[in-house]
Amino acid sequence: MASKHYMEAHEAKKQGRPVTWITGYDPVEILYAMDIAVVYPENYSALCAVTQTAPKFIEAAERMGYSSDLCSYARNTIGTTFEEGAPLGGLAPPDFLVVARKFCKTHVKWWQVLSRRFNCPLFIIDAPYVPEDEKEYHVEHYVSQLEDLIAFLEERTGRKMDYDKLREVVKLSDRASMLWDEIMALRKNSPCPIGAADVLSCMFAIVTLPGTQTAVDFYERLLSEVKERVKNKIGVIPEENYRLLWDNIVLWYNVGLSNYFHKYGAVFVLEPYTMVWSGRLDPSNPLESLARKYMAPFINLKNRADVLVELCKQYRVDGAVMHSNRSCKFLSLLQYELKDILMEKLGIPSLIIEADHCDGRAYSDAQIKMRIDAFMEMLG
Amino acid sequence: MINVFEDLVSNRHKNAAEWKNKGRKVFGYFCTYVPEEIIYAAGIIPVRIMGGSEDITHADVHLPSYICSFSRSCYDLALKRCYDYLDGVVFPYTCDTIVSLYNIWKADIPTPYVGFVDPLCAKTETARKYFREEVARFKGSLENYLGKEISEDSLRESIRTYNENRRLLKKVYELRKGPQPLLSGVEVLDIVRSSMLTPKDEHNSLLGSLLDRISEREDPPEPGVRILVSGSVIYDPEVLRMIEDSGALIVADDLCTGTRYFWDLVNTNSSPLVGIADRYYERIPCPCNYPPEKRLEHIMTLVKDYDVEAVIFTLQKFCDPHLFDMPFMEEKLKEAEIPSLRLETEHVTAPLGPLKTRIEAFLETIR
Repeated sequence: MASKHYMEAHEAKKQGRPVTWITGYDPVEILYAMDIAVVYPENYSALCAVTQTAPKFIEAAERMGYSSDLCSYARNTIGTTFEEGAPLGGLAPPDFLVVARKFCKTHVKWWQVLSRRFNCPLFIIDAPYVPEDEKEYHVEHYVSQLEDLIAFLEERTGRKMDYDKLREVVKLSDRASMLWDEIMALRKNSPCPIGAADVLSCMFAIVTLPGTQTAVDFYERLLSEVKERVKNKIGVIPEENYRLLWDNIVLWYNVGLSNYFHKYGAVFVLEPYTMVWSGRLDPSNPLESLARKYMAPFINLKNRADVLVELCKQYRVDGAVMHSNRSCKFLSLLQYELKDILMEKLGIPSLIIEADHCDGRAYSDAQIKMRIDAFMEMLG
Repeated sequence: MINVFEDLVSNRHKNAAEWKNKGRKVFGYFCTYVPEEIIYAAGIIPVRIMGGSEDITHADVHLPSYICSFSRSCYDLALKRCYDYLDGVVFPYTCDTIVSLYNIWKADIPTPYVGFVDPLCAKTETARKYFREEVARFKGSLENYLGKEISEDSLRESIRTYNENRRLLKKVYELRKGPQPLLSGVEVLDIVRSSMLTPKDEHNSLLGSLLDRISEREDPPEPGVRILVSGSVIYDPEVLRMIEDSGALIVADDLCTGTRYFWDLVNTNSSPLVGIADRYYERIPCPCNYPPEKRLEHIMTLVKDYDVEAVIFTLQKFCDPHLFDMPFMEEKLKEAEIPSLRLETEHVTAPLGPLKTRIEAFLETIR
C-alpha cells in the first residue's frame, strides 16, 4: 500500500498534478478534496528505517552540516533529496509545501529547510498550542488558518475548492476513523487479538489516507478479521500473562522488538502513538471538525495524563514501556511525569528506554534487552 | 562603573529576595517572547529565568539528557528551590523543550501564577491578529490574578521605560563601533543580562551613569579580531571569555541575551496593547519560529556597522531551532566571504580545552 502510494505521487508529478509534502497530524483531507498528491516524509523515513537504508541518507545530511542531534526523520529526508539511491525513487518533488505548527516545532524548521531546498512556497498552518483545555478561540483561529490554506491552494493550483467534494472526503475520513477506533477497542479483549507489530504495519492508511475509499476498504477487511480472531479467542500469543503499553514512536529499524516480550507472555495491547490518528468528523461542518481533530488538545501534560490513565484502566495494562526518543522532544520530555502519574494513580510500573525512532546507528540491542529482562522479572 | 552590572547578575536571587521583603511581587519568564511590559505595568518585577554555573544534580531525574543544558540548569535551580521567591512564571511556546518545561514546571514547582503566551510562526495577518488577542488575554489573566486592572496609563508608562532601556542599550552598543571599543563582549553580556534581572527604571539610571562616565575609562579592552557572536541564551560567560582571551574582541552579537532582546522598540503611535503585541510580532526573530533570512539580514547589517571580521556561533548542544538554521547561515556567510566557526557548548562543567583549541586555530586563520 505504501509503495503504491509513493509511486502514485511520481505518476502524478509526470501528469502535471500538483504534489505536496505534509507531516503527520496535518489536515490532509483538504488536500485530497483538491485532488493534490500528498506524501509524508515522516512515514517515508520510517520506511527507510524499516528497510535499513536510512543511515546512508542520515549521514549525507550530517555531511551537509545538519547536526546529528536533529530529528532523524528530518535528517533522513533531507539526505534523500541530495543522495542517489533513495527507496522507491525518493519522494516526488513538491510543487509547494504545507506544514502545521501544533506541538512539534521541528516540523516547521524542517519544512523551512525543504522550502529552500526545492525553492517552493511553504504554507504554515499556524495552529495554536492548547496549554490546558481547548477554548473556542483556539478552534476559531484554526478554522481561519484552514480558510487561509484553501485560499493558498486555490491560488497555487488555479482550481476552486469543491465543498461537496470536501464533505465527501470528510465523511470517508470519519468512517476510517470509526473503523480504526473499533479495531483498537477490540484489543481490550483478552487474549488481545492484534499486537503492536501488526498494528504498526496497518497504520499507514489511517495516517496518510484518511478521506480515501482505500482506507475505508482496508479497515473494513481488517475489522472483520480482528473480530473473527476475538470470536475464536485467537490471541497474539497463546498465553497472555502481561498486558503492556508502549509509549512514543517505535524503533522503526527494529519493529520486531515488541515480539521480544512474547517470551514473558507479555503483549502490547495499547500504543497511544497508533491510536491518536483517528478523529471523528462532521461532514456538515467540515472545517470546524477538522480543526478540532488536528489541534491535538490531548498533547499537554494534563490531558495526555488523563487520557493515558483512562486508557490504561480500559485496556487493563500491567506495565508500560516508554521509548525516550532522542528525535522527538515533545513526545519524550513529559515521560518522567507520566511514569510517576501511572505509578501514583494506578500502581503501573514503567520502563524508560532511550533510543531513536529512525537512526539505529547507536542502538544496542543487547543493552536494551538486558533492561527489558530486568523490567519483566520485576513485573513477575 | 561596570562591575555593578556583573554584581546584579551574580546577586540576582539575593536581590529578588530583597524586593520581596519590601513587598514587591517578582515574576520569572522564559525566552524573549513574553511581553514583559505588561508584567512591569502591573507593578510586578519581571526577571528572566537563567541557568547557573552549578552542577546539574536534581533535574536529570525528571528530564532526558538530550535537551539543552540551559533548560536542564533552569529546572535544576527550580528543584533546588533557588526560584522559590517567584510569585509567577510565564512561558511562551518558543521551542518544544520550553513548552515541555512549561508543563513540567506547572506540575512540579508550586508557583502561585503560571502563565502562557503563544507567539505563532507564520508572518500572516491572521497570526498577527491572534498574537494581539493573545497579549490581551495575558493581560486579562494577570488582572485576574492580581484582582485589579492594569490601566492604560501604566501600560504607556511601562512602554516608555522599556523603550528608554532599549535606546540606552543601543547607545552602549555604539561604544563598540570604533577601532577602540570601550567595552568587552563579556562586559556587554552582563549589561544586557542585568537588564533582564533588574527593574527597568533602576537599570535605566545605571545605564545613564555608565554612558556619562565611560569615556573616562582608563582600561578599555585590548582590541583584537572583531567578532560577532550568534546563538541563543548565554547564561555563563565562560565561552565568550575564552574567545576574548584568545586575541579576539566581541563587538556585536545576535543573541537572545543580546541584540535580539532589545533591538526593537514598541511603536507608541498605536494603542499600548497593539503596540506591544506588534513589537514582538515584528522583532528580530528567534529561530524557534521563523526562517533564518531576517536574522541573517540583521547579522549582515551588524557585520557592516561594527566592522566585524568573523562570526562565531555559540550554540547550545541539542538546540534544534538554531541547528536547523546552521547550514543556511554558514553557506550565506561563506558566500559573503565572512569566516565563521560553529561551537556547540554543553553545561559549564563540560571540558573547555577542545573548544579553546578550535577558537585559537580559527582566529589564527583570520589574523
